[in-house]
Amino acid sequence: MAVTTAVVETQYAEQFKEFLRAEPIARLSALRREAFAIFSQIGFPTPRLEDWKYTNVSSLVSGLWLIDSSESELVDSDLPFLQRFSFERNGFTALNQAFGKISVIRIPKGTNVESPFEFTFGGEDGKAIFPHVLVIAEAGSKATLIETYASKAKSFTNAAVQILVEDDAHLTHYRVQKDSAEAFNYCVTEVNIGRGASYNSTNINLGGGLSRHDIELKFTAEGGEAWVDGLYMLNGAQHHDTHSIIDHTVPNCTSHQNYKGVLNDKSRAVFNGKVFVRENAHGTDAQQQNKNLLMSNEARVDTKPQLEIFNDDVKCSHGATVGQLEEEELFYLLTRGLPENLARNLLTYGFAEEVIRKIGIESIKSDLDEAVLNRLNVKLEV
Amino acid sequence: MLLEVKDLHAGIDGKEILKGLNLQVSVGEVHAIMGPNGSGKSTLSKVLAGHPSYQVISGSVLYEGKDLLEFEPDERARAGLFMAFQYPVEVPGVSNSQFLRLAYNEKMKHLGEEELDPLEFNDHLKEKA
Repeated sequence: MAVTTAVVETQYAEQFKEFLRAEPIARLSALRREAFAIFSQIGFPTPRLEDWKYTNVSSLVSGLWLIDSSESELVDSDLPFLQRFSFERNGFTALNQAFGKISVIRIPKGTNVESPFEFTFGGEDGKAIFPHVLVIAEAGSKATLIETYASKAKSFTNAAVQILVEDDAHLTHYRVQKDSAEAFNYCVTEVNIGRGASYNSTNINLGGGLSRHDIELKFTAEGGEAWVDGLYMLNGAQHHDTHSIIDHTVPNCTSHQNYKGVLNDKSRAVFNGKVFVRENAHGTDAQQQNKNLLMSNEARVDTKPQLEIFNDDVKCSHGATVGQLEEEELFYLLTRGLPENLARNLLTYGFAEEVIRKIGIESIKSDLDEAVLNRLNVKLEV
Repeated sequence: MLLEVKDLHAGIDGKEILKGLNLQVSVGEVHAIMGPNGSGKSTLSKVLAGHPSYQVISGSVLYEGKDLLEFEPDERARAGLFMAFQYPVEVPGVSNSQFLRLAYNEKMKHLGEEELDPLEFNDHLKEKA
């Protein structure tokens, strides 16, 4: 069914009018109107844009989606943080700001919260959901977030997570996207890291027919440290795209990025990792790596690590690899009597496991182990 | 005769390294092969184990009377021809116990015996240790 752009825009415009009528917070209405105006102006991104060159969302755009959003939960004092969201980034973020169901997690100053904060999203068939989570880890606090996407239907998730890690706070963040293979998932994560603070994230992308994750992380004061690690493991005709920006705007911060991909069948992945080291950001230590395993001749990955350094006193490295399993490792397993198929799966599992084993919460880790093993059709009973 | 290598010519990347090697090993015998660097000791072991980078040009290898060169490396290992690596490979992300159990169970399957689950295998390891 061919749907013209006009029809598509009308479907959102009509639903927006209705949605806005139910918005009880006046200042939020103004922000939503502004965001929807931007969306109407720029529309959804097309492959003509450099940042969307390898990810074509036309199959999503042509669909008709019923907006499924409800009342936000935030207080007036949360508004300034929400207003810092760069919704003009693209059509998705603008639409999220227009329809977003906002919720807030605030970790009070100096507290160490043992049990993790969990939020799980999943849309229903034919529906579009717009979760928007604000996370404020106040000064000196310590906590863990678990963010899960688990739609079981052909849904459209358009999510935004804004994170503020204040001075000397430590935040661990696990993000697991295991939507159904028919689902669309767009998500943006914006992180600001304060003085002496740390942010440690692991991003696992297993699901979705078409998914994209944008990450933008910025150090706002000296002595911050961040880990932005991830794994995408795709089958069939799945497409996943991760675009990340790590911005060293201040001196003496450290960032680590290790993304791995396993691509089966006709799946396709895009990795674009930009690391900026600004003029005054001396003493920066930035390491970035993206390794990919292509398990089939029809799988494809487009990877582009980018390092832009405007300062001499830095320690930086970056690299990307695309390849098959190590022949020597494979041969070693064969000489131990493992059949070739099992040996290949074991090596692939080991490759993915390097990211998964970093996860500190046993229940998530064993879930993911199982998900990976299921994909490989191998029983290790770890 | 357990292993019988007859007039074996083999090499790597089109370069012939073994030029007509003969060797007979009977059950219960221990053989040590010695020679200077580059004389083909590693090549012989890799050819026998079935390394894909090495090519057999001519000659034959019989193992328990069967044509060894017809078998895949994992079939050779399960049949009892085993190669100890000078530099064993570390497989990232895979634990020793997982790896040992998988290898053990493949051998058991080959012998038509029962496979062990992780708990049973753990007990088995303790007995051996």
